[in-house]
Amino acid sequence: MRSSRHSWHSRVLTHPHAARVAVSISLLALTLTGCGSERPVDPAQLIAEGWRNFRWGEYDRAVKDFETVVSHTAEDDPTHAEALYGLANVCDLRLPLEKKDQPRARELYERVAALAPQSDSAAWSLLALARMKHLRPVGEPVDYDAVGAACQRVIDAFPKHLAGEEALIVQQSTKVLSLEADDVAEVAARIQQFLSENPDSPFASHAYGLVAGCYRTLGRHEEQVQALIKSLECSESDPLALNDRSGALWVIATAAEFDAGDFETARHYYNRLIEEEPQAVIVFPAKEALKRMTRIEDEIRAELRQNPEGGGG
Amino acid sequence: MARTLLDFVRRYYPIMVIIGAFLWAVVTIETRTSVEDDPDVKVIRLAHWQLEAGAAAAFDEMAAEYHKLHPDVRIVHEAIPETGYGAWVSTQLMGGTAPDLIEMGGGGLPSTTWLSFYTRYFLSLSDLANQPNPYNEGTELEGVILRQTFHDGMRQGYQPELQEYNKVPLSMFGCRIFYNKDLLKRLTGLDTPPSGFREFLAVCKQIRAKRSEQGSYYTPIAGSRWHLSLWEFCMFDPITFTGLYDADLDRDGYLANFELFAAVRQGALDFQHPAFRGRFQMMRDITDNFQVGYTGLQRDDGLFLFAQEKAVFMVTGTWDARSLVEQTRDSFELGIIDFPWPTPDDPDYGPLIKGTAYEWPWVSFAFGVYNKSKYPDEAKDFLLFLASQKGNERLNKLFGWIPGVRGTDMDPLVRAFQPRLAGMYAVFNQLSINLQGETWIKFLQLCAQYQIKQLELDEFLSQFEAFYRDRGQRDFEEVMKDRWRGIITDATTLGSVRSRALEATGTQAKSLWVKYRLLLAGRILGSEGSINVYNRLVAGERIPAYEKPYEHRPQALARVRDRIAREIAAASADGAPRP
Repeated sequence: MRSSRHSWHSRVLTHPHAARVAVSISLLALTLTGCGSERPVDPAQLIAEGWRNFRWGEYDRAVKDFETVVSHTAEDDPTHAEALYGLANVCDLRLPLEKKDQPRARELYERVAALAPQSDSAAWSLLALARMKHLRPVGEPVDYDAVGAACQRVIDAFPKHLAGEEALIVQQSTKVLSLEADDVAEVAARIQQFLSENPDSPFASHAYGLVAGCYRTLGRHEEQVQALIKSLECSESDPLALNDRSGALWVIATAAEFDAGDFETARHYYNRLIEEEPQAVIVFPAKEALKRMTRIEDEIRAELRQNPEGGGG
Repeated sequence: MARTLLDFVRRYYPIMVIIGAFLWAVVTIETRTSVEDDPDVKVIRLAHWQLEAGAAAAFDEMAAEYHKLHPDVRIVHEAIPETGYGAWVSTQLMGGTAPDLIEMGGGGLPSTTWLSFYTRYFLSLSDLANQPNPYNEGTELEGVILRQTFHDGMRQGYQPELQEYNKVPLSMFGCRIFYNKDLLKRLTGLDTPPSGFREFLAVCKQIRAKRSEQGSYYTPIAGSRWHLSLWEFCMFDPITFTGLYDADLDRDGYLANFELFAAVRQGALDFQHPAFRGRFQMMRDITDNFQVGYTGLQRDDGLFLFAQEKAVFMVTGTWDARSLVEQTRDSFELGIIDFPWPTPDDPDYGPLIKGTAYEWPWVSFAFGVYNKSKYPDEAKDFLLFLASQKGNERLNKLFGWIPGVRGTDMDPLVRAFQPRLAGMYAVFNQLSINLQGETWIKFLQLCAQYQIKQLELDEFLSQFEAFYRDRGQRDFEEVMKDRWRGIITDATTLGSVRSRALEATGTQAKSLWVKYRLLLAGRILGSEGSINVYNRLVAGERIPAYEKPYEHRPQALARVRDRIAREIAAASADGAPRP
């Protein structure tokens, strides 16, 4: 019935796709005639866009976004350093690996550190420079002394910044790779010092985990178990994540059982694993462990009853 | 004139056909788009690869139910064959034309590709997973956050590499043995199926000895390469559990391929280990009852043999249950039994048996939300509807599957499939033995020869071990290089998480920073430490912390002994009965 009331051209104009067609034609015309005027740049918005493109793997678009901000802002504008940092990130971390442009990334990170030395971007840039020395391409040896020095630069410049704390953890984690007793002992002492100075650091759990690894290597098993427990106690809970603690509980229990001979602690953590993470596969060996410890204790008791002088160490 | 026209057509015929086809395509697409562009209706497209009987009807019914609640939303589902699903999804995602809801995983795409898709094309569902499902109002799950409404805590929707939930799994799957009750009775006289391992083998032997009226053989177990993989997963792999205590050098409760190689190179175990031998001996015991030539057969071949009443038993999963019932309804009565697990006093497998097998709760059939969806809120809402107690129960009854959500009723047929969440689990399986490269190819070749009895167990294991120890070195190095490449790729993920954390506020920011530190500690620093240790172990270095991980250290036992001695002494002094 509508057709009787409307002429064909009015129907075309009111058709739901009319606007779409009109816009397409206009855009085409603008493109062809080159009449598109330059958009005003909103640096904050473009930086956010750049990061979103980076996260989505649209690296070329991200580069364009950051470069636009860099070219439209003065060097003393804080967004200039932020955009440089974003650009450096893309060059440094883009995938596939062959597309990375690390020389440019290095130069850009250094520029950020020089232009805004106290900024957050500078802190993360210095850390990124350390990571570039650390995470070398496959087959290229890592110069761990250089990694340590680069981390120290971040620690010295930003001792209380998250980037500084992370640099310390990275530095000490790489030092411990030698497995040499002296290095390992030094790392344990350095991390203990960090923990006493920064008991509330968000890296506390990881720091205690690192210390526990040191004590394991050094054969100081009771301290190892205590450090593992502290690591669990300090561990952060992600309000939006799975927060599966079965692995942490298992590590404490097995260290207490096999390394420290602290069956009481072992039992406590095996039981926590069974109760708190009932669907974890390692619940089964945890139950086996409880039976095993009881059997060992019974055997020792029986032996000591037969030979009371056999006790003591 | 006519000639000129004919010449013109002849000359430009191909171009005219192309232009015609183009115009036809334009008109078709525009017509279809017009239907979907009804401004009053939000169309949510859902893609999946379920072509089982009843799948289309199930989706239609759920869509109709949802439409009743939300008249402004229409759900349209598209079933894509599994073989082409991966390619289809990839094309749609890259072309920006993907549906709003997409079944995640499978379709022939490797998990690493799916992982890259998760970050690039799908919305994070962590917020959804941590909020109560509004469709559970009035049920026992009212107010419970979504992830805790699932049997497995929605673990299958969680991506550890990203520390995020990015899909909602809707069904649980399990495997059992189907059997032909009538044929079993006719061939063995049994009214009840065999339960234990030895009894099962004895019944299979009885079946093998029978002939049909035409003189043809009966097959005790319908098999194929596909069916063998289920037997391996559900039965042969879990009996290797005791190998954990010798091979798990880092004592984390699991065995990785590089770890097994290091354990063998360190002399912690060899391929004559009872758990290894047990796995392959059991394979021979069971496959001796498959039809001849099963290694060259596919899933449908085994299914055909069973449906034709030429085989008594067949292993498969919940996904086939409904179809099997439908197909055999007029032919024979179908029964379902558990796997015939050996007892601890079994002459061959007894020492390996510490319990029954852990069965992974495959809460799967998971959907994610496309990040360019026009209606992301409606897409998420429909997922919540499907994941609600009532919705999930209904959906799975229609499919004949096990619901993923707690407190749901299920089709009686699939009750027997409910997984056991406690027991022995696989240690030597196709993940830990697979050192990739030529070592894995050699394993597959030798194992195939063993399966067709060209090799006996000793020959198979000794030939593989020789190759593994020697050529495995090169493949181990490649595995380690891949791990390092993984670390470098993880650094990109880390950069991505940091950028989001710096932008976010409140709970979101806290969550992202925790995620950031976990990724740093676990996937970068932790992996680097692991690569360092295993390279050294394989090179022959002795690292005390990684030697005999499940043996109590002498000092540890001395401490236990001291404590007990003190307890005994204290009890004696008190005059109390000795502990």
